[in-house]
Amino acid sequence: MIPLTDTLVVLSGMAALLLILAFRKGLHVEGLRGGFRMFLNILPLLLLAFILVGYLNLLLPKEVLQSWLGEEAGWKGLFIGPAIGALVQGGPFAFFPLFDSVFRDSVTTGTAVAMITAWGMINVGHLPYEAAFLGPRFIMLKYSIYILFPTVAGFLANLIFGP
Amino acid sequence: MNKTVIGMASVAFTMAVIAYIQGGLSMVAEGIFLGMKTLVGIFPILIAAFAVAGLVSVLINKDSVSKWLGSEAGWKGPFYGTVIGAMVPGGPFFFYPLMATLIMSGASVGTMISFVAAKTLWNVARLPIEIAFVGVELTVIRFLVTVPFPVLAGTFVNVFFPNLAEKIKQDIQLLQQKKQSRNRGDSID
Repeated sequence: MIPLTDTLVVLSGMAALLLILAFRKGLHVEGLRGGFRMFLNILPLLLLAFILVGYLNLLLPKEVLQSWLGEEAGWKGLFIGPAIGALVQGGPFAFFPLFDSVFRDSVTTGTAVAMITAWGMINVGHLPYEAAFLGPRFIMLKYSIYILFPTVAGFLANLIFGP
Repeated sequence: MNKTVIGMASVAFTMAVIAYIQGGLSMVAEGIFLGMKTLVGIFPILIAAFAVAGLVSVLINKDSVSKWLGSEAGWKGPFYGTVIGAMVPGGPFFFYPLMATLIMSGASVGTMISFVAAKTLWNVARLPIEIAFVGVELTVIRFLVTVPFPVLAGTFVNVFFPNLAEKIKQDIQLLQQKKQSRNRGDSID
């Protein structure tokens, strides 16, 4: 992982830029309050997510992950990774901490890209919403177009940026 | 949200039990301690991430979204869909109903395919969280290899399946009627 400071600089920069934009519209207080409220709402979930992360680190043997998803897994990782990603539920605050502490060090760049992409695009947790609001034809169209994309994206990432 | 908490709590509990069997109470405590250590380490980043998320949500509203995508946008549809999908905040409970409304009010199916691709691939409201946990480098790589996809997918649908819009509209109409009759039934009770 990139040193914490890089991340912090980029994010603070984004926050500062948005703060100026919001300030010009007089929305800065409302925006920051909204962010704080979001944080309080998500806090119980966040604590739970990190307890999970702690246990997974203790209990999941790194060698198993490496052989399934790491460099030695080869192209298999590009299929197994997205399959796991598509199944993980609980929104970004469950997925990203989990990914960072459990999978990040074991997977290749491509498998990481495929996994995160699949978690977002073909997440099975979205199916009930899609079925309720958009109907079966849209679901079939969306998944038939999207399903291979995470693997392709992962393959490209490995090809261009190295594993 | 509540279901998520319950689900995760039960998984955490199961793991605590496994940890207890493997290493006794000290291993149970070690798991919690390890998790909290990670959380404390990432805390300053989280503050910035939430400031970004809150500010984005006040800067973009529903009205501006429907103004851009609701009417016939023509071949530019997938492009608008991608840009707006990447910017509009809110979870699946918000954007799937919004998509149904947009399709009914004339947005093309391709535009919606682009919209939901960009929304789920790299939403601005989620990006700070991704950066916070995954780092800048991997986030940028992921963005670069996926950037052409939403526009391409939407254009593909508009070119090769131009008649799909009517059928999907019928599906949505059917779903909305079902919901209405169910509501009526409830109100009689």
